[in-house]
Amino acid sequence: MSEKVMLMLKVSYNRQMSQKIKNAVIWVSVVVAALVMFFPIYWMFVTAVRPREEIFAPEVQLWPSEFVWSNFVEAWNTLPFTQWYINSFAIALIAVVITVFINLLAGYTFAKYDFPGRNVIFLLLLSTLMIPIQVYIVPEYLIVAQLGWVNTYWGVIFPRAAEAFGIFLVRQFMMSIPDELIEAARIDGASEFTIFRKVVLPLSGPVIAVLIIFTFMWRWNDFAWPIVVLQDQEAYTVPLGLNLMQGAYYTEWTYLMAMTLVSILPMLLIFIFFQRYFVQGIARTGLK
Amino acid sequence: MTQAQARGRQSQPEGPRRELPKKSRREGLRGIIKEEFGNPERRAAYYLVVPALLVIVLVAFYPIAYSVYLSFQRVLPNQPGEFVGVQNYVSMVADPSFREGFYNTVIFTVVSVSLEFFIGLAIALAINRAFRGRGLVRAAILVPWAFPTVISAAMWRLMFQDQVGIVNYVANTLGIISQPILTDQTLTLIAAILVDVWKTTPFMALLLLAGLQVIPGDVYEAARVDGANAVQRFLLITLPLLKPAILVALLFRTLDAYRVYDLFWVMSDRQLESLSTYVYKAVRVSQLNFPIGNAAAVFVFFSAFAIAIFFIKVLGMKTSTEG
Repeated sequence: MSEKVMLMLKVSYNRQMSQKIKNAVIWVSVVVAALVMFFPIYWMFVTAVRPREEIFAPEVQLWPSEFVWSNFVEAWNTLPFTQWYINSFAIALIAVVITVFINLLAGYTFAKYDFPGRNVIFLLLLSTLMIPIQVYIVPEYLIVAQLGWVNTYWGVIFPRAAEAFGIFLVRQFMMSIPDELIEAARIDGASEFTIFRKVVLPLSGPVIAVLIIFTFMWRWNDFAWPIVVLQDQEAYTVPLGLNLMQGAYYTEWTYLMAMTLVSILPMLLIFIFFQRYFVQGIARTGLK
Repeated sequence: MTQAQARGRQSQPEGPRRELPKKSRREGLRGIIKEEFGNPERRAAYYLVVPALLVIVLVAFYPIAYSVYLSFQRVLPNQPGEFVGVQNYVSMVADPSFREGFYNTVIFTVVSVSLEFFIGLAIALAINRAFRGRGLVRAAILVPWAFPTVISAAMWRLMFQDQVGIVNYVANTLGIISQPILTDQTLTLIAAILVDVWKTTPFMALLLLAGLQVIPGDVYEAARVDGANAVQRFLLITLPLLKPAILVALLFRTLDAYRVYDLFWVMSDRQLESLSTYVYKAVRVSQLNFPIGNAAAVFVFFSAFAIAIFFIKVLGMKTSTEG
């Protein structure tokens, strides 16, 4: 009897120890990974606040000799950043609303409806991910130009409104929603759209949060397509403006890095805000 | 693998238990569809999928079909051509810069996606646990991914640059390199891989984390009671149940890496060739090479398609419920 107790104590003691070691290993690797990850961002920051002439100093300095905060203000004022931010916000926000809506509808359909041609359509959809952008950029531009959408928000938003990735993500997620729930609502006489709105959407918190994060980031950072559609500098989005700062012969690195740091703030806010729902949403669905 | 198993694996852990009723329901449903053409469910399905389909057909399929057609012609843009069979493809393979782009792309894709997968999985497993400050860590980990590629590539180029770049400086001081990094093709490719791993591992980690979150905790509890150790739990529970998330993550990262373009351009000042830069140069920069560049674009499309099929077969994703 007492032997058994001793054994149990030993086991639990060993488990505690191994748990402690495991936690320590995890913490150390997280810290190392964080250092590697954040060094470039740290470097970006010190580049942004250095005195401008220090960038090309022969000895590389880990710490700036002084902090020139005015770099941020000067950089903002040298180019029409205010207008670019307005454009970027408008495009990203409208795109999020439209894209999330379309992707949820389509993903739900592929997950939960049986209809002829479904698999073929789904494969075709996936295959759009395999086309290099250089292939379709010209025909796409011709279409947008004919619609009169050059230099407009719509020209940027519409062609990216349905994203195969998002649809795929939603489909994978919604396949795990029990059919019984949908069936029960149908028997209760709910219309198809009511089922989607009242049964499926409330269960889809996490995937909606992920879609919002992804769509916002993609539209905010988009480069290859907006630079084709947005030709006037007033119509530019922030990344196009940042690109403009990289001259062919000369780049003002302090300004570029300062403005780059500012440009990721909206995404950080979006992520910090929605990651809460991301976790809560999963807990709420009862999937866990 | 039977159909029921496959579906169970891919939807969720509880799948197999409710597989049978589901299947019979579906067959019943199909019968109804055949009887009742105006079934509201079926009609709704079409309504729901139409917006996405419309956009995609308009912006993607028309161009690709046109490209395939053109790849068998000798044409210059806006001029009628003649049918030349596979001549364009033969010239493409014979072109040394196409082959270089192909090798670079394959190496880049395989190495960077594997690194991203393993590191991303480790990160996902680490931040899936409960610990203090988890929310903050989760948010912070995505930061590298938040930078636009053109910008982060430019920033890294500054760090890799001769004389003033810190990475070059450190590597030189330690005696790892004998020449400036960005003057050497292989070193530039390694640098590009590094930047890609830095930038997109967070994305991988996020997708895998989402997959980990839906694995029910009691499965692990049951396994622990049955005496499974940590390695067994990982290999026999985590990995199989994570399969759908792994598929999404690998498939999308591979297709993305395979089409690498802006990273190479900015990092190497347009010197390092990839399949996509090859296409771009041929199609846009020199119009004379348009047919070959177009053929290369079609090649990229179909080889990417083959990659996707490979992943779907290996990881057993089903796109159909009929099997």
